[in-house]
Amino acid sequence: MNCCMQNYIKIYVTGMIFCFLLSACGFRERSFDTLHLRLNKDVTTLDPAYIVDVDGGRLAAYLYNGLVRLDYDLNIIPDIAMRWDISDDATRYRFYLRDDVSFTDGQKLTAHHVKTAFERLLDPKLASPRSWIFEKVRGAEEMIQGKSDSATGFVVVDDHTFDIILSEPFSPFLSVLTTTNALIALPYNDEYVAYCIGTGPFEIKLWERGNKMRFERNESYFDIKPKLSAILIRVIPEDFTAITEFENGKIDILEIPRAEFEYFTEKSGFKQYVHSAAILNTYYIGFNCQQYPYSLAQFRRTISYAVNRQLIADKFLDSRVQLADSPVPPALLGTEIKVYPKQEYDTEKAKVLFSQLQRDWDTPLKLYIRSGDRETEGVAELIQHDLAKIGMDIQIEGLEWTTFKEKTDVGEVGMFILSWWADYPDIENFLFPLFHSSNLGGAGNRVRYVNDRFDRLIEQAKSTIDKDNQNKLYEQALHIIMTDQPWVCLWHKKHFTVTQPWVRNYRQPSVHTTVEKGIDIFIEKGE
Amino acid sequence: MPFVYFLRKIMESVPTLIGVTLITFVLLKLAPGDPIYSIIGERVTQDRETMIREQIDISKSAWPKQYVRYISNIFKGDFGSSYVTKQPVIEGFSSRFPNTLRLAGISILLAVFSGIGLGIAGAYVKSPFFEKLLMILTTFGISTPVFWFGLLLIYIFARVLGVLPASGMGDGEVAYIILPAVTLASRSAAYLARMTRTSFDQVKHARFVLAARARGISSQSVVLRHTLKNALIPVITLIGLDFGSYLNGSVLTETIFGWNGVGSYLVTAISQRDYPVIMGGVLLGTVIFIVVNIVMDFLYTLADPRIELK
Repeated sequence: MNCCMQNYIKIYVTGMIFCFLLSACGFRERSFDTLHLRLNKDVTTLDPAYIVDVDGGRLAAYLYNGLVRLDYDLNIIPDIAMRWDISDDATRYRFYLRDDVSFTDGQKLTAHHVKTAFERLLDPKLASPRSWIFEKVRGAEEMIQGKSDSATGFVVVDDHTFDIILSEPFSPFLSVLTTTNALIALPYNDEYVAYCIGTGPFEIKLWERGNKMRFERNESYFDIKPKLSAILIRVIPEDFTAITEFENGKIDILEIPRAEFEYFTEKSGFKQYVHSAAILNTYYIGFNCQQYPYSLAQFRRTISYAVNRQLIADKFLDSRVQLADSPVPPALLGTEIKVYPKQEYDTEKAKVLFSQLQRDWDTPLKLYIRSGDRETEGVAELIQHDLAKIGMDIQIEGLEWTTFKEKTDVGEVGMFILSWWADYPDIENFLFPLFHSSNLGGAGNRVRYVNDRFDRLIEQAKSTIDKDNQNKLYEQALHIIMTDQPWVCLWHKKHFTVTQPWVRNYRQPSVHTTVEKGIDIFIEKGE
Repeated sequence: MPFVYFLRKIMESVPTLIGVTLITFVLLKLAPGDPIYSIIGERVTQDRETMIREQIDISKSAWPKQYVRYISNIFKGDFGSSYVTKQPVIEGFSSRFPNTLRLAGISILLAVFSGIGLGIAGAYVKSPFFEKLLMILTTFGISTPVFWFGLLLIYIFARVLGVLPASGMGDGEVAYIILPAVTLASRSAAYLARMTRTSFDQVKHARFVLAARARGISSQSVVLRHTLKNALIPVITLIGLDFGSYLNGSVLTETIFGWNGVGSYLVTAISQRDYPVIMGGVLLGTVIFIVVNIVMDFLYTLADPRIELK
């Protein structure tokens, strides 16, 4: 029996090894005319009317064009519109469209297509969550509410001239047109297609949901044609697996996972291929200004003095952030707008302020965070530690994302950690939605901050065309926010990516909208 | 007779399916969180949110009407569309289920061949070294967390040796399925090895085995035709349970290896409160377990003719 079994085991083991070797033979090499990218989760849609996620916006830029777009320095530059005029009262924008733009199905783009694409966003049947981007356009609100079939503010002057008429002056309007949702796309006639027909440098050829996408070069693209013949985007949820794929040369550009930051920036051979960019975002501790004790400015100021942001940034976040002096990223403030008073770390001041408070609230206070986000959990624990030093006892409560959003939107939570990412590069985008009293809750003002003077200043600023006046108004508005401190501003997070040595002309944009179109980047790989 | 049995089983499963959908539907509505927050992104005012909510019919309070509508739509073949991606649920599952089936099929085959093989060897090879080796291997298989084992395999075969791909499904090449299948099969194989060995130990001294030997039947035939068949009943149960759970998706394995199956699809849907997809997944899972149970009943009769389908 033993002899028979030994033979049996030998055959069995040999068979297994043979099968293994045979199957490993099917493992193919990659092609170098294609850029290989990684997503950690699939995008929900590539229809500009519905895109709300960062990755969706990034990919949509390869497929579609807007009237205007942003360059890497965040200047607004022509895209489908060659040039534009703005009327003296700043309510009429006239765009002169290129006459050599075609959709990937062969149709020539005209102003009628632009009107159709924009009005699609306002169509109540589509229920687009991003219809707000055109809320300043005349007749948009009526269309959203189903009272009319068309917005009177979108006017086709002729085939290559398109007017947008606003109901009131709105200085960031051109910036708004650089957002993902203002990309011009035509829907397919099918009942369900998660992407549209575009005019971009690439067209989508394959989308296996949850697995991969393949974009191929649009040979009839009107602008500089991409050097890459295709872009392959693979969904790889696990960071370790993605790193392995990168080190094996199967991914060309990788967003550096937090756990491997030190490895890539200091130890690995990829050190010189690490790219970083300051992204337009702000992380903050928000206080519900309509809930005691968070409604007390002195309470908020106490926490502001107590939190040692610099230490958290240096020791825990590996300096991957830039400390925030205000809710608005420095790249948007420029040198014209001064921020005062400054937010400082001073434990002694915090102790004094804290001792002056009545402290008649139900203890302990809670700091709400999104659960499952290990970085925020760590930051919350360090904040808890800082507050304990001044005698303030807080509890950390993690909530699942949709529950967290629901509770912050309806004002149920008193203190929370959250971030705000730019929709478009304008100061208005960091002040009006976040602190204006008309935007309480999900519209952006989750701290439920109400200040009439701030409201007036910001309304004035966004309708002011004169840059100097506008800057003065924004400075005053910022001063109010920095004094009242509905937020403890934490930091602006930087973005780090690493590329393969063979990737050329890669630049990291500071907003994930219409900047990177895959035109300049290419692969140079020797034998 | 088996046909009547299967028909009766299928009829009996209808109330089970309705019960499962009702319980899941109510639990989803009672659970905290709201799918609207996975859809709208930022800067949506309360009025606009209410409008979108009405348009996609996700008010929490109207659940009895929604449930009746959901069930009646199912009878029309409409399982709804994802709130988040707008993709029809049936399309979402039908594109991923073949991947899950492929992974589950190969994994279970691997587990059966290696598990039963090791189990039989363990029962007959009387070598202290082999016994210890088997014990170590099975203990390792049972107690090692799947994600750790998966990462270890990636490290060895993709990162260090570079002989196998670390993730993805390629264009269907076999190489891509090896590491996920081995990861998924490891635990089942370990359990199967232990169970087969125990089962064999009990059966190999039975009188009918002695009788077979006394009749001069070859050792090989005694093992494969007489002993194995009789030792298989508990093993079939285990295989059925494991295969059923593989078909419902193996979230960790799919996540680690970027394998696009129903498990990761369902987990994403749960985190986004994407009710139509969750309901679809629960329905699919229930159907799978019902079918697997029926198939197992049938296999029992093949392994032991004394068992009858009544």
